[in-house]
Amino acid sequence: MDCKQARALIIESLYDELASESAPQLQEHLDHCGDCLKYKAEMQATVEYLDRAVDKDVPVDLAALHEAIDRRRHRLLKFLRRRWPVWVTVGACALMLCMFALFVSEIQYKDGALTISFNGQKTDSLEERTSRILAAYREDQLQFQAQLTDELRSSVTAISQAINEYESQRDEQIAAAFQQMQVRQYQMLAAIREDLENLALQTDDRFKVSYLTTMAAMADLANSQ
Amino acid sequence: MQPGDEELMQKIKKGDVEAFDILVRRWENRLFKVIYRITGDFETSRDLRQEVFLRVYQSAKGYRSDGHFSTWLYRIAINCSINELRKRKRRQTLPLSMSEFGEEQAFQDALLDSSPGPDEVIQQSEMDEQIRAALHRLPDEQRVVIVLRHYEGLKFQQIASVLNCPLGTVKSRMHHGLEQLRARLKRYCWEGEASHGL
Repeated sequence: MDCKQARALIIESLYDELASESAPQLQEHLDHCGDCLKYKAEMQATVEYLDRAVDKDVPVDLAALHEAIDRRRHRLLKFLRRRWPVWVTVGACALMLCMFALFVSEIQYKDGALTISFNGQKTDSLEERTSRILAAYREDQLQFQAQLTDELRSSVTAISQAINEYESQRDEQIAAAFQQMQVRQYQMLAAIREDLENLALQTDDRFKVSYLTTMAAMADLANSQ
Repeated sequence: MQPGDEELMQKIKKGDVEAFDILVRRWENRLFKVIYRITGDFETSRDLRQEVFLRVYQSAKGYRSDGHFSTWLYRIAINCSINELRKRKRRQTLPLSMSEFGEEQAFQDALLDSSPGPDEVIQQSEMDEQIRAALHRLPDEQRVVIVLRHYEGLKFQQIASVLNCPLGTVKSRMHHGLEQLRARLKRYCWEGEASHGL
């Protein structure tokens, strides 16, 4: 603990507000620090000297105090009385404003024309107005929700139909193309078969001609020999 | 058994004038001493005390009973006193000398009261003047803390509640204020004790 901390604690100790845990630390410091010990003695003397000031009792004049209270209470009334024309005017204006606010149901400014609507209905309380606005808001929300659901449902149906149509069209196209391909394959096969048959016939004919030619040549050769 | 301050305030709320008188009698001297030690001016202190009681009466209807009437009352008194000091500083007027109240009153007291002699009364008056002058030279915030702690016996924590400031600030103001008083009253406290015979 340094001297600055100790002196702060000395002030607390003079007024019996020193924390019990700080007391031994302060005492330990004071045992070794002559300056702080002197400071404590001087502070003690100062505090004791302050106690020598004599307190004088100065009673309150209760009558004067009550008069002052009454004066102050009546000051507002006097002010109001003195200024009554102003207050009457202000009150009348305020009353007119209140009446206007009570009976005007709607003020609208549209297309350069100011429209003020009056009705004699009782003005709803704030709570009633709030609940009405909330109910209208909830109804709007529900309507909007229903509208959205309908739109979503119809768009889902339309998409499903389109997909189905597309799929059926695609299946038909595939089936037709497959059929055409099959027909073309059959035709090609028939042509090949015909060619083969022709080729076989031609081969037979040529074989016969060459056989006969060969046989005739061999017969001619035998005859010549 | 005397009713408590809170009970009296409840009665004042209902318009009980007698309860207000009891409260005034209970607090008149303590309040005067606090205000006088802060402002250092007798007449101003009397007026301010009246103003504080007026405010108490007027605020009674809005008073919330939380068991801290004294804190509330001291706060009003301190605020009134500090406002008055600020006004006075703006007007650049010096506080009245103790002679206006102290010496004249002291002589009158001496004539009426036979127990202390006139010399003792004058000596006491001088001492009061020294203490008052030393207190008055302190900054307002330090003086308020010293008055509340030393003369009113409020704990540091209570003063912090009255002034609505941290406890550390109160302790620091007390420390600095006492150090200044120590320096200013040094010659009366111990150096001059032998020569002045105090």
